[in-house]
Amino acid sequence: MRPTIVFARHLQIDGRQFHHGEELAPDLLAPEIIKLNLDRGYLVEVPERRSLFRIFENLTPAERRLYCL
Amino acid sequence: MYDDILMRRPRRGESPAGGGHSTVVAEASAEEARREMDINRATPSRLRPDMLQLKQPVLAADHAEQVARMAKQVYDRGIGFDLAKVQQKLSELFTCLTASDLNARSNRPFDLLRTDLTSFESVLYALVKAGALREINVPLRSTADQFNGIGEDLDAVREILSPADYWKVRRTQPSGVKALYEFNDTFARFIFGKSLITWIQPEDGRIYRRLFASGESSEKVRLLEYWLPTSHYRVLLKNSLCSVLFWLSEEASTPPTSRELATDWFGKRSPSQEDVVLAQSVLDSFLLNLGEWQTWEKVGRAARKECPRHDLELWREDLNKRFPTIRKFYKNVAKFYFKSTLRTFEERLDEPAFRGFISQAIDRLRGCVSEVAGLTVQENSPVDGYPLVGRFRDWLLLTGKPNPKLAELIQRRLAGVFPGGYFRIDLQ
Repeated sequence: MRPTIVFARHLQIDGRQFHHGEELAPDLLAPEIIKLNLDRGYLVEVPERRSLFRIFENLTPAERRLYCL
Repeated sequence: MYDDILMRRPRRGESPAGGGHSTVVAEASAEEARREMDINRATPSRLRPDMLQLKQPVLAADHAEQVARMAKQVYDRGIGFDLAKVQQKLSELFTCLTASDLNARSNRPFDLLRTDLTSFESVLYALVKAGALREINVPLRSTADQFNGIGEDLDAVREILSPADYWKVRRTQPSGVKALYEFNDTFARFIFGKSLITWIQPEDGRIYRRLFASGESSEKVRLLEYWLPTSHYRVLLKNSLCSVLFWLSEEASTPPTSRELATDWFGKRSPSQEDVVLAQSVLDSFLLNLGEWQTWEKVGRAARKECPRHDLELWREDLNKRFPTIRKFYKNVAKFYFKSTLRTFEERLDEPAFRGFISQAIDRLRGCVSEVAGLTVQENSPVDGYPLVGRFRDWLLLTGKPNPKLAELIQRRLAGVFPGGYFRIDLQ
């Protein structure tokens, strides 16, 4: 399961502003940029926090069929 | 030589008669029950709960069958939802959700990174860490009170048991709690919307749920209001609790509206929505005969802020003066729920049984109001254009063109079922 990744400081990437505490939306940044910022400590993985984006992802096949209608 | 004496000596936790601790407890409780039965036998004139007779509505002999038939029709009809609109609303809500998440996190008590705002336990942990729970405005019980079992309700109202109780720490964390409520509301709506979208049948775009014909008033029903399609209209059974209790207690005056009360209490010609909600919750607490601290909690949950107890006391006194029959009614019912206690040799009100009976009786009557209103709609609609698609405790959901005479018809029918009662019906 995809972990909850959160910004640990204010950051500007590709002209887009991210706030401290904000959750990183999936597929928003390239994997190498995410990895780099995780290594720097600008992004952190927080398993104890439920990802809001995962609420949309975690669908059953029937639900997925409905969303695609 | 002393072996037989030692064998006969009771061990620790064992009774002299040879039984264990549980045997002693069982014997003691049986003895207590025997004594209580003796007291009951000796005082045959004592009022018992089974002797209590409340006023009953005048219902048709086949009322239950009619209601069952109506429930089936409502279920079979379902509610039509526009999937595209629900999806659009859902994505808008998600944007609000992420914004309110960030807003709540920027407040002091919550750990910006680690607090999971969707989890009550995580939020409570953050509040505990911030020391907010120490500031709850409920006095601690003295040791003497604890020993004598006095003021047990104080311990109950001091606790934060669900997100509905966050207001108790609002005094110390005003902006944090406000942001938290905003997040919680958005999250609950979002999750309900997500469920709703999965309930829609792809074949006809309708939802078939027992909830729509249940006549209940749960959190789900409150959330459903947000997602209802605009093509429907509602019949509101306004303040049915007040109407039912006025009828039960034979109060002659017309039930007051919360707006009227708010106008009187706050001295404003046009009270705000917050004032109206507060007045309504004070009225409901009075009608349910809640104690001082329970009223404080109920009003706080409804208004999401702490209301001064002095004000609450004044308003309750005002209601007591205006409607003395309500207090008299509860006093008369309570007479049947007094129980003798062996420890102090006095009669005490059996509070849980009394509250349980009252709550059950009121719920049944309010359900009856909703059923009668639903049946009236059914009887006054053409067979091919049955408009009722949802029946809940405080409102009905109808489709099609609103019938302006419907409110009057329901009122007239309710006046027949509850003779002398007054019910306020509105179309919305």
